[in-house]
Amino acid sequence: MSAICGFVGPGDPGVIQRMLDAAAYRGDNSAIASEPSAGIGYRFWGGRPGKSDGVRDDATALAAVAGSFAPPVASPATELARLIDDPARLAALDGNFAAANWDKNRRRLTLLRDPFGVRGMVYVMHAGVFYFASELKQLLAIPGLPIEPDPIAIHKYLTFSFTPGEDVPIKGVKRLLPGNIATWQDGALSITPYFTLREAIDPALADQQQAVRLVRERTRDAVARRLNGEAEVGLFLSGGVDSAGVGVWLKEAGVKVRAFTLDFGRHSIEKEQAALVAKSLDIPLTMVPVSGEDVGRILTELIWKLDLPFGDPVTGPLYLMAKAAREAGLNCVFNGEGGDQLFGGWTSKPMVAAEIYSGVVADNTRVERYLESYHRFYGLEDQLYSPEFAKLVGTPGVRRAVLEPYLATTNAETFLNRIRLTDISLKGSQNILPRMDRTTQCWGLDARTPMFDRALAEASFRLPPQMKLHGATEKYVLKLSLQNKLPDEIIWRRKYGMGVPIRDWTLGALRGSIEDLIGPAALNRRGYFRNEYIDELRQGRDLPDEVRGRRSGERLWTLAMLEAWLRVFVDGKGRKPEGIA
Amino acid sequence: MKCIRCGHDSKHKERTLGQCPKCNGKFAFEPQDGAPVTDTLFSNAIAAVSGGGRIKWGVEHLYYEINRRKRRRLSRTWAVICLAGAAIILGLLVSGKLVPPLGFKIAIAAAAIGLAFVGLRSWFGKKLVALDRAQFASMWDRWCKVHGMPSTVIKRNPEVETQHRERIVKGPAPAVPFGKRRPAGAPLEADIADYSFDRAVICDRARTADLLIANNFHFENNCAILSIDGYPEDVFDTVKTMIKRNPRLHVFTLHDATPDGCRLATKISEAPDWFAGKTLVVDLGLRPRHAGPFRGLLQSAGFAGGVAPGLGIDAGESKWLSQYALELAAVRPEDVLKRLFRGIQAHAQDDVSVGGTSNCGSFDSTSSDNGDSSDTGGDSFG
Repeated sequence: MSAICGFVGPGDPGVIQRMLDAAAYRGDNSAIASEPSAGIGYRFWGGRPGKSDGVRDDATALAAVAGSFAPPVASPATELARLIDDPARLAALDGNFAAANWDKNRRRLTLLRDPFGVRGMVYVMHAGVFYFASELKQLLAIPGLPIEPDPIAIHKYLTFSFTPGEDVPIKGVKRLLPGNIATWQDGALSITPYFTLREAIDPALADQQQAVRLVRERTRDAVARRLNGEAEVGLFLSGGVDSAGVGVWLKEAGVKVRAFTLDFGRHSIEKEQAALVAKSLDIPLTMVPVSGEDVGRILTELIWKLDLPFGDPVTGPLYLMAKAAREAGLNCVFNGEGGDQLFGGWTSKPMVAAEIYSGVVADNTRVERYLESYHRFYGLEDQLYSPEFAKLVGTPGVRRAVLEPYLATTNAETFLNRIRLTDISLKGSQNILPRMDRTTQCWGLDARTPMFDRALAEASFRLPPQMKLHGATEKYVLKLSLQNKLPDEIIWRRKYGMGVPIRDWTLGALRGSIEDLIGPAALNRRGYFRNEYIDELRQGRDLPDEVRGRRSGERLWTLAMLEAWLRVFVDGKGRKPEGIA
Repeated sequence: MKCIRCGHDSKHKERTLGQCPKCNGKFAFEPQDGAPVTDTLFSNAIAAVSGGGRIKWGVEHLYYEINRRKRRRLSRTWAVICLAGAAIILGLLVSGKLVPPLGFKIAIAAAAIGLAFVGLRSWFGKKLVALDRAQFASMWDRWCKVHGMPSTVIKRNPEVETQHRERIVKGPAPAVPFGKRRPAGAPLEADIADYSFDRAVICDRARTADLLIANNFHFENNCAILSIDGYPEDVFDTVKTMIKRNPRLHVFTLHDATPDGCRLATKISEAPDWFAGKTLVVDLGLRPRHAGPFRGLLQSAGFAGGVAPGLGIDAGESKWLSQYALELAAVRPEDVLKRLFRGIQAHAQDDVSVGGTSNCGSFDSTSSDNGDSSDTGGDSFG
């Protein structure tokens, strides 16, 4: 729950304070260190173990680390310079962090982002100065920075429901990808990965007992590495096997746990399961009621704090659940995110089916199927885009180009693990983790995601893929490792998903917001989209090509979030909207 | 007649060389010269089977859609004329404006009642299809030549397309198994065959499997799709092995209302090389009881010796199936996909280990409710 920022070049050191103020909710303390042509700022909560308590400023370097390394060290900023110059340690780096180090002697800036992308890092070049920050809104605080939407990044958002890759929907702003190290020296930027996940199947792990033993060891260690001596931690419990597993491992670590789950009233799917898990682990559970009206009230605040557009409707409920955890006096919350990505969750089977039937009647590629798996607007561009916006998007293939390096990777030889690597790199690192970080950070909460532990992830790619998708059973080895520790009903039931009743909300409680954001008048003003198609969604009509009614709600929400984001970050230049605490 | 390109309405004498006088676009059909349809009717039929351009469909669906439209247009126009005539005559007699001698009065009243009877018969239409398949095939060729092949039509490889075409021309009875249809491509990756599916839909013919596959039903529903005649040939055995890896597999059948179709669920439920009585098979296909809304779209079965009851067919069904057949292609693709989805959802909690068959088809209800109005979306949080 902290943020960094800084610059290299002939910039004004005063801009650092502006950038820190733009993310004031990320800490109650701030520190700045600068010298001619370089400066670093750091906003943080004082007194948190395992975190730096200021910007390191000595004869050799300026350094700041937002977040912490795993295992924790007393002062990550002090450790940073040693890490950067030690390839072996760098290659083994783990944790949740975004770090910056200015080497005064070599006049070299180094930026580091954690292996899976829990902490954000964006950068931009403006007026001969290189700027970086944890959040986009910090960069938008730079005086005179042109703020123009990037239609190609928006085009990608409309397919994925988040902006993948290095793109940020503001022209000129880029994102440092997870597991990468960037250096800025003599006016040139170079980026290289320090961490690459690779399949290295160990045949011995085809033995079920050995595989289970490995998973149990690694999960236990992953949780231990993320504990900093807290008296009590929170747990976001969905009722599914992943978060329930984290609950098991926390209990085994002897930590006091308090769980939170979402209550959507009559629309709830898994709250009984969450209650069953809490009861079986003997941990207190708080049901956090969330309605469409609740989400409507926080919409602008949510958009501003998410920083980038996220089109999944789970963000609002997560934000409200994090608020409840903070109000309960907690500083950190654990969650089960990443279980699907590491152990072969729900996206595996559709992709297997797609692969089997590829080419039977149409020449669809694996890439196209993967793009469709996000269920947003891929293939619907002719119906959605206005002719003017279609022109701005330019030549076809930009979205396939995002995917192809992942799906064609040589880092995995098996089909399932190639899909897993793609899922981790895209959905995990660029959607799930950033949105979890942002929805918790704004309440001063530290999100801990043990499934995205480096050693655990590497172990999962030593497993034969059949240990992940076993016949039709997803996350098989994870389930085996939790057997006798959770009720069978939790482990072996069919997956239903922690669903947000977004169709009911967008057609009901949020109808006014939807009309304001993507009604005919708003669409006409923005000029990106055709009203005819969106009107079908707004009316809740049964679409010919959609068997699941919920998809229209997801699509409406994705469009509404984009427009809300454009209003705050483009029209409002990223300044804090009025009326937000 | 309206031009589908520019919307201009022209008279026959203006359409020299079969072209629109405004945009010079060619017409595919000229009713004044004996064509049974107009370009507008054909175009609207394509829009209907393609869900406004969002659904993939086969030529067979268009055949039935044209029949549906022609049936509606001809029979209902004739019915309105007959019923209106009967009403006028009876009105005149009852009001006293027409006062013939008693004998004539009885004869005129009887004729009016007869006219009303003919009108009512026309309103409900004939049972069998009216349009000749060969005639439709030449209409389709003509359409493609003038307007091009619609982008949403399912594209099969040429060899298979020929076989489909032969079926369109020769009728519904499958004469020979389908040949190899999947274009030679990259082989499946080594680990693919180790996995399984949540459910399987077994069809009675390849083109039904094609409809589902072309519309991504397999992808959206973690679903194996096979046709009993061995399609798709190059993955058939692999998929058949894969589905047996899931002891909780939900199995559904989807078929025409034909003897083979109606026996499909029983056949695969019991066959040792399929499910050997160990898995419940739910029949979601067409059966004779679903034929009501499809008057004018039935085929003649021509089973002179009758169809024996048993093996999944009851006595009432055997009688109907001896005379008629109802192809699934008579149902619009959008409706097939949605009804199948709803049928699968309705059986999501079934205990499949009881084995046997369940016959509660997805075509039993005509409700258009999509059944998931409170369905939810969004990711889990782990």
